[in-house]
Amino acid sequence: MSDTRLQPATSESSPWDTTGYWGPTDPEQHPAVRLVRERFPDAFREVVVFRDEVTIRVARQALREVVDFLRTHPELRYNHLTDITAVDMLYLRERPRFDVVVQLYSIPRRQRLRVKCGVEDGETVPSLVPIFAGANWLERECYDMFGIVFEGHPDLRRILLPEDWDEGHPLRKDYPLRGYRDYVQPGFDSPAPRVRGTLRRPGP
Amino acid sequence: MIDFSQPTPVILSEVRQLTPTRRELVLNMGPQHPSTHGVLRVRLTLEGETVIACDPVIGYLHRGVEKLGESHRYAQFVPWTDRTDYVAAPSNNLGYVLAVEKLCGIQAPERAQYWRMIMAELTRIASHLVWLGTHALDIGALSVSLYTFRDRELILDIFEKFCGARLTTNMMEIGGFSREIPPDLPEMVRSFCRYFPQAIRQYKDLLTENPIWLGRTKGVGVIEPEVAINYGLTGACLRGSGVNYDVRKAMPYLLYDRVEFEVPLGTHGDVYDRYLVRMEEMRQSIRIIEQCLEQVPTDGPLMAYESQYVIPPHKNVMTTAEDMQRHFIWVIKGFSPPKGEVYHAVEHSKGELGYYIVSDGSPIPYRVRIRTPDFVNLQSLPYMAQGAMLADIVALIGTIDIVLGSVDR
Amino acid sequence: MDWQRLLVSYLFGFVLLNILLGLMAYMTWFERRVLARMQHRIGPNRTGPFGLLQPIADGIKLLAKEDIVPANADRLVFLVAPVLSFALAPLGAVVIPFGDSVSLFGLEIPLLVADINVAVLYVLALGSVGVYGIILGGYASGNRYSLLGALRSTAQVISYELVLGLSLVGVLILSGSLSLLDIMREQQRSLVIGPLTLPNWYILSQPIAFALFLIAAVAETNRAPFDLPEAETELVAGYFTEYSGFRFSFYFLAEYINMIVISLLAATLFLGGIDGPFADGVWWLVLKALFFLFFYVWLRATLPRFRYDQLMGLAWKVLLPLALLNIAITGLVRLWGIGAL
Repeated sequence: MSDTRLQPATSESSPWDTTGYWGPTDPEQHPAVRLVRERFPDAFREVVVFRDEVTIRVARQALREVVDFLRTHPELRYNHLTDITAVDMLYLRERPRFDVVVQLYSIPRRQRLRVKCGVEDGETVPSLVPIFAGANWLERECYDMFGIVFEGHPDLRRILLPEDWDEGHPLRKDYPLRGYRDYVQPGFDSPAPRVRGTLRRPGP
Repeated sequence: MIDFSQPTPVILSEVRQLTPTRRELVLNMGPQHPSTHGVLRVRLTLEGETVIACDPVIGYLHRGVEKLGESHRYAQFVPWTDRTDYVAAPSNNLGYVLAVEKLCGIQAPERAQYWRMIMAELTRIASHLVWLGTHALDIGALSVSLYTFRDRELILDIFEKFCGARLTTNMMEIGGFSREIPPDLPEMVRSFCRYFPQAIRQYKDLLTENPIWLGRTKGVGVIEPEVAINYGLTGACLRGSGVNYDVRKAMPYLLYDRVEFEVPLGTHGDVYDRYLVRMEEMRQSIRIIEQCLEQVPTDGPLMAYESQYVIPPHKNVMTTAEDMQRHFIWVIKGFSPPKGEVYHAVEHSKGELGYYIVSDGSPIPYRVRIRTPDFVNLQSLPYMAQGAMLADIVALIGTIDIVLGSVDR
Repeated sequence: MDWQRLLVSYLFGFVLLNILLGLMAYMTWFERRVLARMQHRIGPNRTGPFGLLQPIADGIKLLAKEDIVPANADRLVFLVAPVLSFALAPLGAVVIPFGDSVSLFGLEIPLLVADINVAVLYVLALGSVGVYGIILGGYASGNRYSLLGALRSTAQVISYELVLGLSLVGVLILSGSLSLLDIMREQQRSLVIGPLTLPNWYILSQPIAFALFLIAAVAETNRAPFDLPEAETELVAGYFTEYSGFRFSFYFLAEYINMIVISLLAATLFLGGIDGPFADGVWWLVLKALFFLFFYVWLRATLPRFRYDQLMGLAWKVLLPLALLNIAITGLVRLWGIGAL
């Protein structure tokens, strides 16, 4: 007989929930949630807690002010920008289409925080480059992969793909995994072709 | 469907529209050059010997790993993580596996966690050996690179004994390790720990007090602590400037709070300090491995088999019908973790490696984002290159310690 | 000067040139094996026993490669420059004394091609002319990076030539002659310091000059740790990047011949040439030159490279003042007649 016991499929009762690395898991007691809600009452949308992680959702236009507030407030001091990325929520909800996700970390307080904002296709997000110099390439990658334009970015061009590449933004959900074109692999018999690949029929 | 008659507008930058004046020379350190590190292209604007502007161009090794993460099952994605930072593959596996375990809310048993720590620290040493070898080779000390690769062979032999592969190890699994540790492995690791301090001493004798090395690395590429924090640097680039941030100490994962080790910090933030920091990190890694070898339980479970998210044990799969069915479904369909999103970071040898996984409850992740340390660290190259000479650029690329697979993903 | 002595001189020169060329080829083998051993590797050991046929294999390969001349290049100068470098390199060996005279077929054959009485000056002048090969090659490549690399290399070579020359002035003061044969003979006398009787090798009486000469010699031949103009082929094209096939090997081998010639010179100027504790002869010279060649390879295996500004700063701010100081001290000591000097 099998002696494997199966855990119930809930997201509670896990040693991951009580690490405290993201602050108190009760949103009412979390200092960042409280202070941001006080300071930006109309930009603050919601707070989500999963495992030990706290995520604050704000309005798109207020992103830069909120992040600056989080960085400079003496009780919060989230001075290290860990990541800026985006998620294409096409299959999960109607609008807005993208979520821009900013991971912050406070070096003196050893605490992480996540700030999100929803962006529709075509709308711009205020860039964090004036606040964090490290946001430069991270935002360029978001632009490259998703097409989200960051307003106020000094040098917004493609970073991972060639600069003059015009076939779209690959990490969007409606972009096929294998791309739109078939490229001939240069091999022993066929030297690298100088022409663009042929268009594929739409597929996975 | 995209309309191909209209190209997507690409915003040109001011940098590209700048034409050099007559005194400036635009030099291209092309994607292929013998200062290894992979395919990095740096466009330098020089005035005589001094660098005025420096623009790294990346993307030559972009393979769309994050897009692939959206079409592979959770366990299938582990080998892809090997290929991002290929000199330190087990660390990448570890980061991803820990993030998935956090998402599912499971923890591997203690014995597996100790072995994960040992493998992670061996990986850190292996990665730093590659860094030291290539960095010294670029600056001209040819022999050091061969000595570091000689010592790295010992670590790769350990990896081979453990999981069968040297470079792209695919070592960590969700929940622990499914295969038993080979019985002579602890002794192999112990003998490596006994041998390695003398190798570090050998590199130290060749480089640390060498006036030519000091002349090439001291005062070069200085980055102040506030600027380093502002750039989002992590790892030795940050600690070389004196900022004490090491994920193993700040937010311990695995069992790092049970072992004693120190985090070396630099003072000036130049190339020499980062070199010293990484050398000391190697010594501290040996210390951690020795403590883990003492503390590790000699027998016990290696996999969290009680969880439904973990592959069933092999013996049961071959003998019972239930587990065979579970195994089939686990492999073919995958397991369905809870809905939610997690971000978990580990201290990779190059800095903070973070995985941000968004799950919609299906066996295939909705989004896998790999926050690689090299990508963020490489942004500081133009800052460090201000006022540097042409020959310093090679030293700077070496000191940031990039692996292009990790930068481009 | 009658025709017999002229004929002997030509024959000796011919034999010497062949030996030198063979030595140069096997110098590459020596370097690769020794460098490999220092780096915990083996080095070539498959082509022939101990890899001894490796230089021949390399030569055949280079000869068989396609000879590419860039479209932008100044064709005549491009073709001539490496030949210039290669032709001028062995000329320094003309004045090195391989021993005292031998009698053969009733003739007195001096064991050196030409006993010029300004031999040291001749060698230094050759060093200066050798720069032409570099600068012409860099210019003719039609590539601005080659030109920059060539200019850098030239600046390095002429700066260190100064140091080389000035470090020898001390030796010249002590020996009183510019002829290498005379310098060698001077060193065969004894130097009495208190109870010790040592050979009068100038390494003992001119240690600073010896060190300066050695450093300058390494820089002259563009070897590690002073090989930035060459190794900068990693970032920027060095002066011989546009060359392929045998033209490249001309530059490459010219470097080795330079190394050999300077090693022989150093052995003659500072270590007494053929002088040895017993049985004076050419084998001692060869042994001493081999030691210097080993030292070159040892330096390459061990030390990182200087950055260009540090390299020039070293020459002008450190070595040159030291050389001048050495000349002053030697002159004063000689003036006051201290000791056996």
